[in-house]
Amino acid sequence: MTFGLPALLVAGAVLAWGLLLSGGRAHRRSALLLLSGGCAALIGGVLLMAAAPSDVYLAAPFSLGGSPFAFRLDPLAGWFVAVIGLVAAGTAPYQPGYLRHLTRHAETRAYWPSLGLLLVSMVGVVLAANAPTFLVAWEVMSLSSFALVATDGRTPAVRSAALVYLGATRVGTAALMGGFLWAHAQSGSWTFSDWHLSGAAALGPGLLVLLGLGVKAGMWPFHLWLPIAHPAAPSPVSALMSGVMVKVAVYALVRLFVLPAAFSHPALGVTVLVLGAVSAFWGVLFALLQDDLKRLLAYCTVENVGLILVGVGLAMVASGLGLPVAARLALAAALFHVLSHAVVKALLFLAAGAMDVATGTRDLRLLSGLGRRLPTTFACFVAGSAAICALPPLSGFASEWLLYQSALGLAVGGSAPLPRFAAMLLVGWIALAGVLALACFVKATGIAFLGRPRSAEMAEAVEVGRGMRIAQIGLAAVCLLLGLGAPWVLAALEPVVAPLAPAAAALTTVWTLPMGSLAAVLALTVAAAWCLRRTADLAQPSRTYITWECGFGDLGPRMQATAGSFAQPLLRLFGNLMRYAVTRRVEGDRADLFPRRITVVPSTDPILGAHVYRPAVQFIDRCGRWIARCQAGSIHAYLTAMLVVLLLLLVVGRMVP
Amino acid sequence: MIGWALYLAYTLLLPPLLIGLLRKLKSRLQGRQGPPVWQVYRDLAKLARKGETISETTTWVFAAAPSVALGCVLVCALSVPWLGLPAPLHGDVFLLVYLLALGKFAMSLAALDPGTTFGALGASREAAVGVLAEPALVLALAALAVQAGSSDLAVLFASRPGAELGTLLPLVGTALWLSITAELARMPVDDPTTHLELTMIHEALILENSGRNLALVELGAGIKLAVLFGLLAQVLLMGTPALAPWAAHATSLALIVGACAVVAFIETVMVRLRWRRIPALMAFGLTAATMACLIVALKSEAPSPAPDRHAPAWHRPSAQPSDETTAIPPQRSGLRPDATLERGGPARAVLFAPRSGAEHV
Repeated sequence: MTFGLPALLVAGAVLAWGLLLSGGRAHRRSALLLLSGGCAALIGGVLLMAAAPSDVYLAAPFSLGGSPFAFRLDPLAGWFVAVIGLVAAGTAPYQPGYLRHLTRHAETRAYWPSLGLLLVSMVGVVLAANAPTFLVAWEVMSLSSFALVATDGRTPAVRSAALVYLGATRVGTAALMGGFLWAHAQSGSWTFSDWHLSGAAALGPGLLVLLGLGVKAGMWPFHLWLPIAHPAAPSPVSALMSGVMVKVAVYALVRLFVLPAAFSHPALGVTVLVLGAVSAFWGVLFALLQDDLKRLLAYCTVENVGLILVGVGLAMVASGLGLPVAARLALAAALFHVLSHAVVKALLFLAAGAMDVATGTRDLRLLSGLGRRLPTTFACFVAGSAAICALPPLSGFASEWLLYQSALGLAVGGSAPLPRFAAMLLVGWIALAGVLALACFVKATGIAFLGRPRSAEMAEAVEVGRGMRIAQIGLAAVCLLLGLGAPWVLAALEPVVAPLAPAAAALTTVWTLPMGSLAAVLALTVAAAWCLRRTADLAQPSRTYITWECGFGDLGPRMQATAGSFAQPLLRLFGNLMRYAVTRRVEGDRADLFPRRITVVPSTDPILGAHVYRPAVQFIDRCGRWIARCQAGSIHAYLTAMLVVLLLLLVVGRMVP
Repeated sequence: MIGWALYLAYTLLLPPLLIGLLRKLKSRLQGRQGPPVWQVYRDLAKLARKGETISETTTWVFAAAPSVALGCVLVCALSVPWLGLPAPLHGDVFLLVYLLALGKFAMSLAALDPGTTFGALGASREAAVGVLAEPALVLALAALAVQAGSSDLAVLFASRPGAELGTLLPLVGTALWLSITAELARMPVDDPTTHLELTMIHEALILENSGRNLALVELGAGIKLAVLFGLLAQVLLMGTPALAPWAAHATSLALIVGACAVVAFIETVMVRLRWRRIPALMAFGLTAATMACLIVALKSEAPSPAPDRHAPAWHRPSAQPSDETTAIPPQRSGLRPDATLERGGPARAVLFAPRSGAEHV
């Protein structure tokens, strides 16, 4: 199908929407546009999932590198368009209130145009049918998100974070471009559906593409930009980037490696699986360590992207082993987790932003006792924490349960002992990441919202405005609905994953848990226990009093646990991975008997950042300074450089046929 | 309907008796008279009548958490066939683990709610014990699930392992015993009767609860004990040929009581391990579970197709050539038991090390 009338209408609508959004200065109107755009994308995505696949080409002048801009409309793209739309619409009511707060110290003129560009380009990436279209949309996505990260550019920390993010996107795009060029050289086509590389020919371009996508997705060991860029970005932007943008890279992974496999090599599936598993553990372990709430959430994204990659990797490995049903289940689990994590992470980032607005800080060492001051944010954060820890009956449980089932499916179906054993170990590994996530979010919720306020700002914090609360409540409700309605989500995923195993039984048969009755029994029991408590309360009212007073007066806020002390036993356990150490200093004349002042400082040494990335960056820096000498203004140096490059190109051109 | 009534009656009435029995046995083994077996019922009734004192700093989380935790264990009790009879609800290995996690989540938040030191210590240590215990529990149950071809508990317990029975069950049993005792806050991981707040784990977690909230917590803990020991009993029953329902039920009850007796015996002859030695103990469980997985993985014949209609539709490919190079390398780096063993460290080095914070208990 070339550029038909419906496509023209859609393009016109998108353009008009973008222009309106860019021109708008009133935050409320722009948010309304964002809401409508998000809803339109959600509906469009759902329609795409039901429709038959089709291709759309733009007419002649719109082309790049000899191939037209081409879009492929199919269920997989529809799923991701729907996720993008859902999160965009979910964050829309939140934007005006947050931006009012943000305008006080940052320039927000570029905010709405960049946000519109980001959303349109994400949809563009998801719909792209060939490499040039994909790369253009990918670049627009990277650059517009860079502009959003740099919104608060007056702060030096934000500037440097934005630069780190820009550097990461450059590396990713370079690798991606290299991979695409390589694939083009081997297949002679730019269109993704024409690429069927397998065996040794697939390994090189496949690994390059994987590297490029891994940087964007936050896959270990390329995840370092996430915890740097997310705290710097405004909260709704973090929600979109963490919730959706990293998933766009997952989309490309699924598109190029699974549905159908443009690059198929056994090592690729194993690589994705292993790196995903490492990301899952590494991410949650470092999340446990963090004091900055948004950094914690960013590391938690690394964990969840790891789980999604485990699902994708399982699908690739299972396909390679000839287990189409297990592969289909694994892919469905990964895609379900994409949706569930997108919603939950958006919710948590919005709640973190609300705390930032209310108290002016995101530091868990300062945040405390906010539960009474911010009741709605508190309730939503508890719901989000429970969902991200995969606790039933929320959405995270449904997707993680499917992930466990697909690992078991590989273990049951596999014929060789090694994959079977590895799949079983993977079950334990995911469970380990799950328990660590539980500890991490008990820490985040408990330290920030519970206990006593540590300062006057905390004691006097005021709940955020109505729009910001509505957005959080809406996303929390979606979490619950996705968990309870898991069979329907699976039914919706059926056409998306069907190409992997067309003849197999319906996907919903896998879902054996009666979520409805389980949730009903749980709710009934809790309600019954609660009612019993209330009736007892009527007979003998409970007394609210200072506990542990012991005649010395009330306890102070310094007596309660801090984020560092809560995580300490767990960090000791895995301390080797981050060189965790606690230094303790006692001051006083006879320090052993009469300590006057005791200082306890936990320290860590992030191995990857300090010993891998920093030397690499320093090396590049040195090279850059050396090359910069050529540009010092000496005409001789310029001419020599040009001559050398010309000769080099001639030699290379001669050698390459 | 009979299943519902039976399971509900057992769930609500049996646990206090089990705890009373355990206490009585322990007292007699230690040469004491001990409280009567029925004392726990009286305690619960008294607690339910008594008023409670709540800290001024608490939120709704503190008030609601015991109810949520009780709800979680009750759903576990109704979805796990721990009595040897078909359970009224459809249960699953991962549902069980994550329901227990939900209860722990609620109670840990409640412990942090009053903003006192002991609750936070309890929550933090409980999380650490969970990290050590839960992977072993999941791995052991996953090994059984793979050999049964389904993670559905009804299907899982209906299956019978073949020739590898003799090696598989002891390993799974060891792993389950260690992680269940840790989960139930029993010796040697935790001491339920400790009086010193600094050494408490689970008791510190619930220290702030009083009156009816404490009654809910105690009842929940009792149900958890009964269900988890019932689970263990079902695993042990997998070693026998399929029994008639009443025989399976009677044996399950006997095994649950037997497990309580073993706990009483262990708590008589052993002391609680020091906090830093717990990882070394739990590493045994993890190793046993990993070896159980290895045995299941090495099993040559295909697993029998699951008889239940609820079982997922996995099918094994018929003689499809498997590419050896696609084998996934086992992720040893984090699950390696000796990595956790090292954390235990030699006792001597710890004794003279400078003490800080909560480490020296």
